[in-house]
Amino acid sequence: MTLYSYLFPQVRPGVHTVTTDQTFTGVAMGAQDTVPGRTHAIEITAPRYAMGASEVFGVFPPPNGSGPFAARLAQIVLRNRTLPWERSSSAAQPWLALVVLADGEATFRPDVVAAEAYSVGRVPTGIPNDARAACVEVPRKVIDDTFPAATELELMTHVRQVNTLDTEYADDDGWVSVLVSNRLPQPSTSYAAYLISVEGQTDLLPGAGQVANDIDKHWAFDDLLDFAVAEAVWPRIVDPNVFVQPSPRTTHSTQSFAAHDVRSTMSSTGTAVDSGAMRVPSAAKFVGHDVDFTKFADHFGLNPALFETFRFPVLAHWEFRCSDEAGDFAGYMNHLEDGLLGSAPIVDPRAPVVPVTPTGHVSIESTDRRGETGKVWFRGAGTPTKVTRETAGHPYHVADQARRLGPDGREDVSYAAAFELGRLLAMSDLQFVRALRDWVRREFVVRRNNDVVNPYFTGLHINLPYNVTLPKLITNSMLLPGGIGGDPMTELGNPLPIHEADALLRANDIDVLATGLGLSQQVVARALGDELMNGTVAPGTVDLGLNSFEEVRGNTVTFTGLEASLDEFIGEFNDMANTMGQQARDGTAGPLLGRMLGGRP
Amino acid sequence: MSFVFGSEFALNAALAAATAQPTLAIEDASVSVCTWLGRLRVLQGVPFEYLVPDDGLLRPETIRFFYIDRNWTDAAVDGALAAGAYGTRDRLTLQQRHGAVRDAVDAAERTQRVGGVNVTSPNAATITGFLLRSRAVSGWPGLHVRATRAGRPLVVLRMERLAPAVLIVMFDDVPDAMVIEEPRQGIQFGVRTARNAEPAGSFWLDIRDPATGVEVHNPTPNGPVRTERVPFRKGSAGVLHLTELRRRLTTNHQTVVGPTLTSAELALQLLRYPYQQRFGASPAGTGLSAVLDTLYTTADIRGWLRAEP
Repeated sequence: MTLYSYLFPQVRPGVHTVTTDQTFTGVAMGAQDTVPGRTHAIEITAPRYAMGASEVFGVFPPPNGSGPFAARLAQIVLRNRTLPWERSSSAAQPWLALVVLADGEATFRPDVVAAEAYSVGRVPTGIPNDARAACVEVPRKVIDDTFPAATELELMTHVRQVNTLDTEYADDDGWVSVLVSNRLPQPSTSYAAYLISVEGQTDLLPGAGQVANDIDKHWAFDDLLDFAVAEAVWPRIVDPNVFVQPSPRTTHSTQSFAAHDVRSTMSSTGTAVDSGAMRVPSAAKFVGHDVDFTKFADHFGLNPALFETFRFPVLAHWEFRCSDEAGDFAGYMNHLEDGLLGSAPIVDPRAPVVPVTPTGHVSIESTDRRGETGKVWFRGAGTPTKVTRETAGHPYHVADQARRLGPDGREDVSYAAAFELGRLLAMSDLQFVRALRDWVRREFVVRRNNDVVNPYFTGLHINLPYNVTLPKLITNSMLLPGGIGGDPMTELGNPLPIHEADALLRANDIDVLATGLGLSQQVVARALGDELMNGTVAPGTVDLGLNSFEEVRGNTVTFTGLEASLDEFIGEFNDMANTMGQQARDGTAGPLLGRMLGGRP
Repeated sequence: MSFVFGSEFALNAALAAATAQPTLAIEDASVSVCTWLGRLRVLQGVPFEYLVPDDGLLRPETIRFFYIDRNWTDAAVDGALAAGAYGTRDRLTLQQRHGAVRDAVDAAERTQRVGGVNVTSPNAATITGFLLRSRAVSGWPGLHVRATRAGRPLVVLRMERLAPAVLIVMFDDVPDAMVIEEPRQGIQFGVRTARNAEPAGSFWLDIRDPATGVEVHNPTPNGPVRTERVPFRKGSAGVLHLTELRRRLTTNHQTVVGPTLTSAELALQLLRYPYQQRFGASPAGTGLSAVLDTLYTTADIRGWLRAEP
């Protein structure tokens, strides 16, 4: 990217005459030495009081945009690289300027006769009578305050050459002219940016003005109207007809509503002013047009010259709003207070200090299930220190398992609250609950089927590719009605549903054992048999009702292996049952329910 | 003689059966369940009060880094799973499958963000992040956040505005350097606001060399960047005093910009690039990881913040 200060055109807009003549030398040709010259008239046109929208390459801030522009200068980029100088007398003084005016500082007139787009008595020659243009009408005071000085114009305009090959504008030549405004937008204020022509009116531009190091929050219309005075005093002391005059130019105005607002307010002389028309934003609308400010100024002892208005043709304009972020991104980032979440906050005398421990716990009010209120500790998901993750395999089943006691005797409900939150979020999502139920059920069935079948296959030494799905497939075929061995309800027990936890605690024991293992009651009864009752274990053959299995397999595998493995299986089972029976009789049984529900040691 | 089994016997038997089988792979686990739990893991849908229980922990214009307490998110996941466990049998199942479920959700939580990739980093179990409450969030939507550890970019697990002015960002792993960058919006002109010891409310320009376009240090090359205070026209809100600005630039920085100032040279001084705020990797050697990994003091933390254009 290359920046140039100016590109001054060699040929100015207007009607030019091109004269050609030709002289032969070297050979004497007498009267034919000279060829008669020719003259051509050429008119070079360029935008003057109006401009097509396609001339604009881009603007910033975005039109009608709202954003943090408080440290940004408005700019407009024009496709024509020489346009800002085409009607200038010198490169040092472009004839275009970009001015940014706040709401109420000026009146925009979108459609006037071209000659009326200039101030009275300052219309340049050559403006056609039938053309129309847009203009902005600005009071003297606003010009003085916000317009650039004539000597500053050259600083606000430059030419940029960029490589367009890698952009969507690759068909452009890469040359553009750029006009930058001279005004930082103020927060929470709406602005309009106007690309204006100062042709023939540069003498209206102000001097450079006095220097201040800080932004002066002083607005031009503060001087034009003391609105506080106007609101309080005006309706009572002044005959409104003195001030409000038909504007000589309202024939072209599309904003005559301001006059209506003012009149309706004025007519209510002697009553409190409640019309929004009198408040600052809309009151500013009658700056410059519908109120006779000369008389108004005279009444309040203000300088009437400040209220004289001038017009400038507008070649392009757009509006934007500066949001209430004061400053720029860098400013906010620089003043961020950083730290770790839950670290002791920087003491702010204006705010109460949050009681927070070095671990990030804060003390909050809580109401327990008995309705008693008290202080408990809580820490959110974010912590200032790294917390060691507990090992898997011990899920909480109820929130009470996750309640902890803090060192000062107060409860720490962090994890319990997290558990409850997860539970409530899940229960608020029916689709999730359905998927979860489906998954839990499938998980259990698959594992139970594996438990039942795998010992058989191991004992049979059947050389089958073993993976997760094979036992599932086989057991599904065995356990589902119509599978191997006839009626599964009889042979292998009722696969589903089995039982619920409360039923488990009450039901007949052999029944419970059978259903819990997915075996038939007959099998369990035979396996345990009277031997268990007698306290002597005599393992024997067990008929599992799998007589048809060999036929199904269609091979020569005998049941010897199966029987041996079953013997072993049942033997272990009996041992376990004996031990537990003994413990039950001795009253030394472990806290089984605790193991199942307690989750964590 | 009759002997009656206690129900405890049956439960023990069922427990033995349940724990006898090695844990299967989680391939049967419903994908939608894991996805949902992964969203919970990155705190999607978690009310703000559960993240910041007291307003005082996240005052306006603050940034707060944090570790995710894995036990907290695990407890939340346990709660969600408990919503699908209706009885002892289900609880047994969950207990048995807990490790496998957790691994599956660990994988799912890293693919929650659009464009998220399944990256395994050395300490995948650690999730860190920050909460930023600032007008910089509300005023500059679409800001960029990048974090690295030893030069390796970290996966952003979540980046979302919780409120107009509150941003939460979560990383996979502990960063040792981080950049928050202003959204890129093309070429802009403007000035910069006060930094460090400069008077509040003042505006400044960092002086750039017209030949190279980079900031000039005084003294070169390691002194502070040359700056010039931006003058305003007295009595008008926000209007720059360009004449005085030209005088200051050509007087105070004549060695850089020369005795005259053209519009192109001024435009170069006014150009604004997207601002990058860097965290960590400060010259003193106390980076973000040093703070996040080890003991720290509040003074240390405040020391990380270093303004860099």
